[in-house]
Amino acid sequence: MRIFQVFPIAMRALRANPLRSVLTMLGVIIGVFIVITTVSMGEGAKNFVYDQMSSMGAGANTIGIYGAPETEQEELGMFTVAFMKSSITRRDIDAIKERVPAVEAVTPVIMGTGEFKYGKKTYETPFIYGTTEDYAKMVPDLVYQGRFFTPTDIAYRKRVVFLGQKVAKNIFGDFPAIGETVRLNGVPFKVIGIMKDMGSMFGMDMNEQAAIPITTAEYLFDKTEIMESWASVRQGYSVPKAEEAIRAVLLDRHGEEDFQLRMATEILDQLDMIMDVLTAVVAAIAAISLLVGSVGIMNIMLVSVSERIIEIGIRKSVGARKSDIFLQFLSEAVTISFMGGATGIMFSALVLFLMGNYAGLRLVPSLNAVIMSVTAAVAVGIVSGVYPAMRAARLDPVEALRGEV
Amino acid sequence: MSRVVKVEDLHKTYMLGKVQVPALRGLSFEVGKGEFVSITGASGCGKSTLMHLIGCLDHPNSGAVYLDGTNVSKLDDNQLAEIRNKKIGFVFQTFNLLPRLSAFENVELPLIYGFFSVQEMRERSMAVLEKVGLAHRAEHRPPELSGGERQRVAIARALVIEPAIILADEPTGNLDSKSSEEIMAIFQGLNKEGATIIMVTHEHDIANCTKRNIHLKDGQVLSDQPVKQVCLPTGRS
Repeated sequence: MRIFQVFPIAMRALRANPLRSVLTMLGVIIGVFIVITTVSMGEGAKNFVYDQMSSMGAGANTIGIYGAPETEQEELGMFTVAFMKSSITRRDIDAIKERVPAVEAVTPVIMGTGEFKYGKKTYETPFIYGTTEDYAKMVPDLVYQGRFFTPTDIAYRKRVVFLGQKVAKNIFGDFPAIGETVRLNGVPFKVIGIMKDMGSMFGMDMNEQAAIPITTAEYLFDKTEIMESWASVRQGYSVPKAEEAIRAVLLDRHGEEDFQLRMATEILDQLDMIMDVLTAVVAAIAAISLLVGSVGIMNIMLVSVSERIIEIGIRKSVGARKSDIFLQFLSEAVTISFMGGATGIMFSALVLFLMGNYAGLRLVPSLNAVIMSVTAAVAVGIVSGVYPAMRAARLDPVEALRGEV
Repeated sequence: MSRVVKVEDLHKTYMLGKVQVPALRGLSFEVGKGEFVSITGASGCGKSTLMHLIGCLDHPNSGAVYLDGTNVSKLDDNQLAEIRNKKIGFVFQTFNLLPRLSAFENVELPLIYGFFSVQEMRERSMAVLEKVGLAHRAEHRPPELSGGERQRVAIARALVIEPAIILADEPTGNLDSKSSEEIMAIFQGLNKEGATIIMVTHEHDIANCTKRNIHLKDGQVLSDQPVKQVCLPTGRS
C-alpha cells in the first residue's frame, strides 16, 4: 500500500463516527489550546512591553531614577509610582549630567493633570509631563510635527506645549495646531509641536499626554520634586558602572540613600523570569492534558479495533500485510491527534485574535508553541496508536473473518 | 492441462481449549487450469479449513499446498499476503464487503494493497463491475444493494486482480434461489472463459452445476468424480 492512500482511509473511518472522533480529540484540543493561547499571550505581552519601552526611550541602556526608597512606593506593573514627596530635584539631575560622563541624557518628569481650553472647547488630560529637551534624545522620532523644547524654552520657563496626537485632535480637529495658543489650567501656552503616535500601554492611551518645559511645570503645578527620571547611557559605556556613578553622585548630594535606581534590563529580566515560570506551569498542565488525551485515544482505538475485526479479516483476505493494517490503525490515531492539534491551534488563534482586538494588542499564535504542540500531538497519536495497531495487525485472518479473536 | 492447485497429504488440527480437533487428515488432490470443482461434505468435514489453506489464510500442520507450482506452506505471513493479493480471489457466503465503502471502492480494495496507478485501479475496477452487470450501481454502498447484487460485487472484487484461482465458500448460502441461479450463471460463464474455480457447498444442486465434485468426510477425500452438469445456465432443476 502506498502511504498517500492511508490517510483517506483513516479520515473515512473517523467520519463514520464523528461524535466519537471529536470527543476523542478533546484532550488534545484542550492541551494544545492551553499551551498556544497562554504562551502566545505571554510572548505578545512581553514583546509589547519591549516595544513600548523602547518607543518611550526605555531601552536596555536606560536607568530609572526614583525619588523615594522602594518600600514607600507602589509597584504598578513595570512602573513605580511614588505617592510621597520625592527627594530628587532638578539640581540632582543637573549634577548627574555634569558629573557622570557616561550619561547621555537624563529625562526628569514632573507629573500633573490639566485642562486645555481653546475657544469654546475644553479638554482634560490626565498626563501632563514637565520635562526637558533630553526627552527628545531618548524617544526615537518623538516629533511628528513642529519641534520639541530647546534649552532656551527650559531656561526661560517658556509657556510652550508639545501635544500628544489625541490631545491635538480633540482640541483642534483637523485644523493646524502649531502656533496656536491654548489655555492650560488658565495659563496661555503656545503649541510648538505634535508627538508621534505612542500607542497605548496597560489600557492607557499614550497619545493622551502633553509635555511642557519642566521649569514651567514647577510653577504651574507648584511642585519641584521629580518622581521619576530616566537616564540613558551612552553607546559603549557600561550600564551598571553608570548606575554606580549616578548612585555615588546622589549619595554625595543627599547624604543618605533616599532614592532608588533601577536598570531597564532588570525589568526585562524580571519579565523573562515571569515568562519562564508561566511557560513551565503551562507545559505541565498541557502535559497532563495530553496524557489524558493519549489514554482516550488508545482506549477508542482499542474499541475501534475490536469493532472492526471482520474488516481487518476482509482486508487481510484480499492481501493486506501486517504492516498495512498496522499503518491503517496507526494513521487513524495520528490523524485524530493531529486534527485535535490543528483544531486547538485554530481555536487558539481565534481567541487570541478576539482578545487582541479587545485589548488593543497584536496577538498571534507563537510559532514555537505551534511547532511544539503539533509535534507533541503527533507524538501522542503515535504513542497511543502503536499498541492498538499492533493488536490489529497481529490478528489471525481466519479468526478475524469469523469475527472471533 | 497445467496444474493450478496441488494439495499433498494435508493435515490440520485445531486446539479447542486442551482438546485437539483434527480437521484435515491427510488430504491430497490436484486441480488443473480451467477446472470448476465443488467440494461437498457434512458440517465439520474440513471444507472451510481446506479453503483457508488453499487460500493462504492459514498454515497446515503438515503436508503442502502448491499454487501455480509454488509451495505456499513454507511462506511467511507477508509472502502469503502477497499471494492472496495476486493469485487468489475469495467469494464468501456472507459477502464480506466493507459496508462503508461503495461497490466500486470494495472492488478496488485488493488493488490498494498492490502497486497500481490510480488510473489503472479505476479502469480495472469498472471493467469487472461491468462484467458482473453492476456498473450502474458502482456508487451504491452494500446496504443499498440486494443480496444477489452484493455477491456480484464480491465476485467482481475477486476478479479484479485477475486471480489464478477463485475460491468460493458457500457463495449461494445466503441467497434466495433466483439470486443463486444468477450467481451460478456468472461462475459458469467465468469458467467458460477459462477461470479456475473451487467452490465449497453443501447444496447438491449447486454442486451439480460444477464439473467435478470432491466429497470430504472427516478430513479425508471420500470421493472425487466428474459431474455430469445438470443445471443449465438459465436455471436450476
